[in-house]
Amino acid sequence: MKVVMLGLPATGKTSFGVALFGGLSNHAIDEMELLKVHDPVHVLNEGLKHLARREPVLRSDHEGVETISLTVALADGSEHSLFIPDRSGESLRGTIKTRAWHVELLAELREADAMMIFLDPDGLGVGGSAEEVAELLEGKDDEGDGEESEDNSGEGEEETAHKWTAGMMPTDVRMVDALQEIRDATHGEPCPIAVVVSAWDSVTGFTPSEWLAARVPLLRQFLEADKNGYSYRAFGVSAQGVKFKQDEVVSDPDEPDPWDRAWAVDGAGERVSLAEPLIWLLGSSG
Amino acid sequence: MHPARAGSGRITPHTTRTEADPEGRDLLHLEVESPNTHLLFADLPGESFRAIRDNEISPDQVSYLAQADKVAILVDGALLSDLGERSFAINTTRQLIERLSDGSVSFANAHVCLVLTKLDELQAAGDSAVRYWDEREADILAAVQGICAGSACLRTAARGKTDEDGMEVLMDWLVEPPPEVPEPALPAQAEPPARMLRLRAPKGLSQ
Repeated sequence: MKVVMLGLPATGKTSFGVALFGGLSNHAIDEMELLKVHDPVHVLNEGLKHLARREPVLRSDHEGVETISLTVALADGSEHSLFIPDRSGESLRGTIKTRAWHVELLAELREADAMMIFLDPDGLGVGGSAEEVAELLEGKDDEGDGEESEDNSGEGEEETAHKWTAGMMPTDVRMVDALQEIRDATHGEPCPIAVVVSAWDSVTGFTPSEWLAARVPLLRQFLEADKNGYSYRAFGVSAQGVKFKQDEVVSDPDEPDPWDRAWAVDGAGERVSLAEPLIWLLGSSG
Repeated sequence: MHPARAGSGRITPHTTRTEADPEGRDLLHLEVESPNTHLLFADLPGESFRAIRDNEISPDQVSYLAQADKVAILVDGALLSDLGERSFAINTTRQLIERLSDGSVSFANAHVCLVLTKLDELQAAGDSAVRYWDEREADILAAVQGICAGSACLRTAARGKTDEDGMEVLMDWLVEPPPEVPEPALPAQAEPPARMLRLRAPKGLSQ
């Protein structure tokens, strides 16, 4: 199964891959057994070293791709090949910004059996609500035919108008834009999508499904709409397990191994295996 | 090896990292018990084994591994004593064993064992550090036994002070004769084929 991890920069794609690989290599995931590694794993092992030191896993290579290529067995005994390119989020951001496909990303999407969309709750770009826009439009109407008013903001504050750019789009608008472009470019059947909300340890008061509805409503509506044909599931993943402090030094003698520290929940907030997004995709991709 | 000896004049011993010898002198020949006990140590750079672990090369690409009578898989006790590094030591050891199990090299005729090094540094880090290894040793040893049944874990300290440095046990393991390699059985035939007859030693050389 070929899985594309889709997400803007620093949305947790690499951290997820590293934590998953660590869990599989160290037999910490009961639901999935690692049978064979096909590609070099130096970058993944270096990532595990960072997680062990409570340092975030950072990508330094914005252009390259590290591929996670594994053969795994599930609890039912079935064996599967997983091919998961971990491409920098710059490729997606550049595609959205320039309105021109990153050639290699497009090739991967055309061959994909499934997708994982990564969202970072801490770095989310949130747009104004529909009500706010309505109020704004209404207010402008009151000022008379959309003409700018003379200093009606009060207290001498000035708002500077900026020309709109694609970079100003809220995260869910960007992701819907990307999905529409993918649908047009691939001409294929919509593949199943695991929506992964990363850094889930930093989210409180929501299940992943509730979080999608509250924080990225447009993306959720797009995925829910029958005519788009997507099947999707939401997951919350904490690859680090906890939020690391700046320059943190590990001092707890009972510090868990990084693959034991990572955790995940399903859409309803129930604890699941870190491999569950992939297990669901394997069962849904036909 | 000179910086590790008293004759080097150093206050503390130092073992330099092994680098590939440009002239290919990568075997250390020791006669440890006379007569006739010769040990040939393949002193290969750790980079080779990192490359195996990271799946960059296959075990059969490392010199001497396929011919080895003794294979010691080392776990660095100093790394295990560091809270931020210990999981890396565990992870890399498990992965190295996993890659060595890929079948490209057969260890059927070799003795393989797990060797915990720098036990003194691990013990100096406290009970929790030793407990960390204790809780993982059996699982890792089981993986080694998947390569070579009957493998054991030897805890050693090449320098420093430990109640039992494990070096005697390690030496016993090293000089223990490797498993006998059985001669392949000839097919039971009244007249062996001509090709096989040609491979037999000439009469003049047999004893």
